[in-house]
Amino acid sequence: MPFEPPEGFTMAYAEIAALAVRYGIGVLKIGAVVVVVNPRLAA
Amino acid sequence: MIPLYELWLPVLVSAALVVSMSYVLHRVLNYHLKDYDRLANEEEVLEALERLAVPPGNYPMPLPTTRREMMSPPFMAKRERGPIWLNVMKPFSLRKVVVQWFAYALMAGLFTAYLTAQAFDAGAEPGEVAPFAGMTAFVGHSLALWQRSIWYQTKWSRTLRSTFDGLVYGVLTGLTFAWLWPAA
Repeated sequence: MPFEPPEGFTMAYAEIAALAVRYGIGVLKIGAVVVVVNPRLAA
Repeated sequence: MIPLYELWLPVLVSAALVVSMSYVLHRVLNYHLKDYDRLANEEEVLEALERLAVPPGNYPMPLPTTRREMMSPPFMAKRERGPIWLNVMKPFSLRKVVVQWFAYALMAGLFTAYLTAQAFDAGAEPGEVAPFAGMTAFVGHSLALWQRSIWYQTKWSRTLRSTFDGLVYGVLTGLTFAWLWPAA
């Protein structure tokens, strides 16, 4: 049986979800840099 | 070009998300606890301030009365010698702060909407709208914070933490605009 997307679901939502994941990973990476750099700034 | 009033929903939703997320970043996560330093003799200082009955205001000390005095050798020597104090005396009202914070988030959203509407028409791809709106919101939320560290000596570590908050607000705003961008 072919995959049927839920009602109201469009490719735009899939694209936004993919963006959210990508940005979320980016934010976590930058957060990691902040955690490393911050103690040096506070010193 | 999309008229600004057609973007009221992403402006409103992004402001609500920013305010909610700021609660999470400041009250649930604890990385902002290091924003301030605690005076070892805090009670003593508070008692002294109460005794002096300092009225509400912004008090940099020493403060010159004229530009000429600011450049005068005695004042410059005084400032060089220290101590220097930059402080705000104000009664704190959480309700007032939250109302102003939401209004500010709406304002950041409005500027984001204005600029993004200049750049894209209705029906634009989410992949185009999100980074543009997100970066605009990030700049609005974060860049001016750096002035605090440059001019008012706020710790750079604190400013960097707040800049990171702005990045999160920017991402939320960008995704919201991509999600609620008007269809063609």
